[in-house]
Amino acid sequence: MVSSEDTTTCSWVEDSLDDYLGGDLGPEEVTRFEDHVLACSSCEEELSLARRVVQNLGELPRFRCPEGVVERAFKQVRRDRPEDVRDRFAPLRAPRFASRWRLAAALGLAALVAVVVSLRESPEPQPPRQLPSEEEVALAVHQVEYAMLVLGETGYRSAKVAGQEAIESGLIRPIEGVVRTLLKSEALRFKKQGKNQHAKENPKCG
Amino acid sequence: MTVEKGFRDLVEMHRHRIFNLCCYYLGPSQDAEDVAQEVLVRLWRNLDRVDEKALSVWLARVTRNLCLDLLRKKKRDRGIFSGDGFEAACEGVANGRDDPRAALEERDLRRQILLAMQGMEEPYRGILILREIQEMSYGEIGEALGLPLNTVRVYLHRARKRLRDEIREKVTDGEF
Repeated sequence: MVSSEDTTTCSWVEDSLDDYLGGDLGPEEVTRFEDHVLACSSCEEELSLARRVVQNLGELPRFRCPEGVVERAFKQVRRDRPEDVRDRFAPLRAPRFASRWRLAAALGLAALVAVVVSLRESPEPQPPRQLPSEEEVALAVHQVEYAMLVLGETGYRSAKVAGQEAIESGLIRPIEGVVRTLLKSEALRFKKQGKNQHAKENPKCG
Repeated sequence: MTVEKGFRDLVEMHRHRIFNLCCYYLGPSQDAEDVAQEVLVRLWRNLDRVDEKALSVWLARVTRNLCLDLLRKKKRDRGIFSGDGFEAACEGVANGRDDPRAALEERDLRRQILLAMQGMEEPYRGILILREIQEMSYGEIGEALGLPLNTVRVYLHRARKRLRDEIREKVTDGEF
């Protein structure tokens, strides 16, 4: 025990032991804690004991599940009726949209590339080429819209992944900046608009 | 991914943690195996209702509840932290030390820690096991036990203090 003016600190030290060992005390509190422990043998013992307890808690055995437990569980669940089994993994699978939006995104972005590239003015004289028809442009725009719509629905994270994949595959390298901007801004906007409305207005799209 | 393959993957991911929790409630015993098996079956039957992100918490809650149910049914309020399996497991850890005497002392200390944990009532024992053995966060423990975060902190603090108090008594008695 330390001097009489410091007696209240013993209870504070005891209360702060876990935080001290867990590294949750601020620098000033650490100094206060350690200064007291240096001067107080009972708190020093308490800290030493706490350290040993924490260390040994961490070294307590971890039990491994015997294979037989798993096999018995499987035997039991195999007796479940097939109709109970059908869609158990639906919530744990990737969203149903996963493959569909990837395809739509790829198609849409490819179309966007085609449109942008074809409409850009070339610095070098080029042989005459055929511009896409109005219908083709409209279809490409719809595809891009649909891709954005689905991307929006699957969230910004998915959009980022899809964008990254497309970039890595070299699909949209020439207009990377444009697509990045679109992915960021349009995904959120289309999410709000709703897929059904789009499908209603553009029955041929998607 | 077939349904069974998916389930097998999940089981492989979580089965040791489930069984470990059972052992800390019931002792490494046939009871622990039976409860772990029941947890896996319940996981299967509730797959469509469990959010994958909250799966660990869900499993901890179900496992703990089943363990407590079994203890109540057997009119026991604690598991059995003894038996050959448990001693062997403690021995295995102790053998890792260089100094045999220190190893023995620490093994005895671990045994005392387990006895002290065994003597605690819920939710202190549960919180201690979930935090120190299962290494769950305060937030996860709160969700598993239906307790506010701050309550988890306070209970954990009390549980650790009680653990030290019990151990200190043994130290004072010269047991190690």
